[in-house]
Amino acid sequence: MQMTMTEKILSAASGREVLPGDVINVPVSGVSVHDSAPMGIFDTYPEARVWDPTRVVICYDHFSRTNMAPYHARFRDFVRDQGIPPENVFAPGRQGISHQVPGEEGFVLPGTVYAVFDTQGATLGALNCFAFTSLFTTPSVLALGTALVVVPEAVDVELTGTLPPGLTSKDLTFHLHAQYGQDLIGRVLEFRGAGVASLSVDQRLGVANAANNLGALTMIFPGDDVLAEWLAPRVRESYTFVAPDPGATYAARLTINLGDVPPLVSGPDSIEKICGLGDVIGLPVNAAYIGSCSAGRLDDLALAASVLEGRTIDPSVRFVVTPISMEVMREASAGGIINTLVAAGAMVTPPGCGACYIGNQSPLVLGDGERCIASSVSNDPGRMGSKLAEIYLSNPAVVAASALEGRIADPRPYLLQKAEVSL
Amino acid sequence: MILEGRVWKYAQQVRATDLVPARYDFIKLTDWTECSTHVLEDLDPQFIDNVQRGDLIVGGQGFGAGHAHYFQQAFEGPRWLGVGGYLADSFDPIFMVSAIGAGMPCWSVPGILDFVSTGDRIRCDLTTGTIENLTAGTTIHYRSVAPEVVEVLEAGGLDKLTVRKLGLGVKA
Repeated sequence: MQMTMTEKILSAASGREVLPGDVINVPVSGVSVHDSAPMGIFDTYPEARVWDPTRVVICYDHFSRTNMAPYHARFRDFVRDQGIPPENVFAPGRQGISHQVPGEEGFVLPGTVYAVFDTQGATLGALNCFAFTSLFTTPSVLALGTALVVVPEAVDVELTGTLPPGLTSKDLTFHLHAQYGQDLIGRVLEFRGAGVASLSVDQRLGVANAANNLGALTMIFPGDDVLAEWLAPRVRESYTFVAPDPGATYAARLTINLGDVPPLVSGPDSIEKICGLGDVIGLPVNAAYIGSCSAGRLDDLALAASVLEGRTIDPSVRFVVTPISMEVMREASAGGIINTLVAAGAMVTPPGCGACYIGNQSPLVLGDGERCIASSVSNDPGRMGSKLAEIYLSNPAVVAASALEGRIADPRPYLLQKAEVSL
Repeated sequence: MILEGRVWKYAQQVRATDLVPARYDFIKLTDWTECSTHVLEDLDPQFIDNVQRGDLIVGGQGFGAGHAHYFQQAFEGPRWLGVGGYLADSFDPIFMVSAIGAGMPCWSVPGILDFVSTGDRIRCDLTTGTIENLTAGTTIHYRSVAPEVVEVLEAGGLDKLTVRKLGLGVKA
């Protein structure tokens, strides 16, 4: 049988050839859980054991306020009782988002099946694996080491060209949503083509992060030199890239020239509302936010810094930046990016979900009637505070330019000026 | 395993937030009794006063799609109301596995919209893959529900099945 990447990975893991529509209890290579996860049977039955403590990762990302300390104490007890190695626990000082850190730390390998409690677990599909959210089934996955999965159909997405300057994964995923949304529901997006190499691993993680928003089960990027170089210093075991067979059956085939992707914005109140940046230019904003599992990576912070360098944000805007992980915080600090952001007037917080988590633990909480431009995942009413606030989503360059002007702004003139100066 | 009840048919994509509107954030409240009073409130205001125990909600493509934050209320609300299950042309795969994991029957039956109308009484044998439309007197066969799913539903959800598989909570 000629197989898609999805079929190959799920067949290899389950030890038999699987087809779309099959229901399988598939063995997973690892599970990542964050600090607000309900632990179900582990709370009810203290004698319950995880199937393999060395393959469980715990990330502190949602809760940062001190009044959430009991949640963290509960996880410390869980880690101790289950014999989970301390190096698998990413507590303050090592913390980061639960579907970023396992990749950074080499727990996630190409060709494997990786389960994440968080809804955005598909993010790790950037690493040429089948990564998905096991959501409320996670306690069962932790106990049995297998996950209930309905084998999905795949969509072949060929990328050509390169994204225009100042555009990111955010624009690409809004473009996918606006143009091809109905083709993607319930399916897996499998990327290929010459355009893939132009996307950094940061950008690929940002693309795969949108699977849940698109209604897709997950996304899988191919293995290539860019990914191999990223993985080399990180991986804990040897791996082999997985590629589709030439005659594999896809439910749909798309070709996207990255050069044709326009700057896009989503909102307010629904990720389904997508429009051109030009349509919302000039709308006043009270708050600006860069962070989350969608766009809080080094690439994103560097792009924002290149817009902000030597400039000062509008004093009427509360501008908060939350790096996705301590690794990103360290690199952004070492590279001077944090300095640039802070000098411009941004408040940089410890890593985590920040203002995007629906129980917002960030200093950036929106009030009635406010408007925010954010690079984060969701713009449902109430996501960042008041249900009477408006959230628009965009790439981090647009957020940075909007923070400078106090209204939704096009970052390209700032990026262009910077390019001319450096020439 | 048999589901029998009256049909409530919605030919469009029924999203998680159609089942229970997003403005009620019951994930924080987990008051499923209150949640059950808001089922399909926007999509079909007639539903809540006329639904009967065992009724089945039938939808089109991508049933349950939307942000996973709202998934739990989208199957707990209807379940507490006595809704017997969901049938649709196709499901959001994460919603489907989450709902099954919680013990709520759902299964993809392509073409279901042509086979039933709102108010029809149907009898659905998950194991053989047969649906009888008792009102119209017709029968269709579909891909039977996987044994892996029936096992979860019969146990009353994935947690209960897992506890049984691990031999937990059994007095010696």
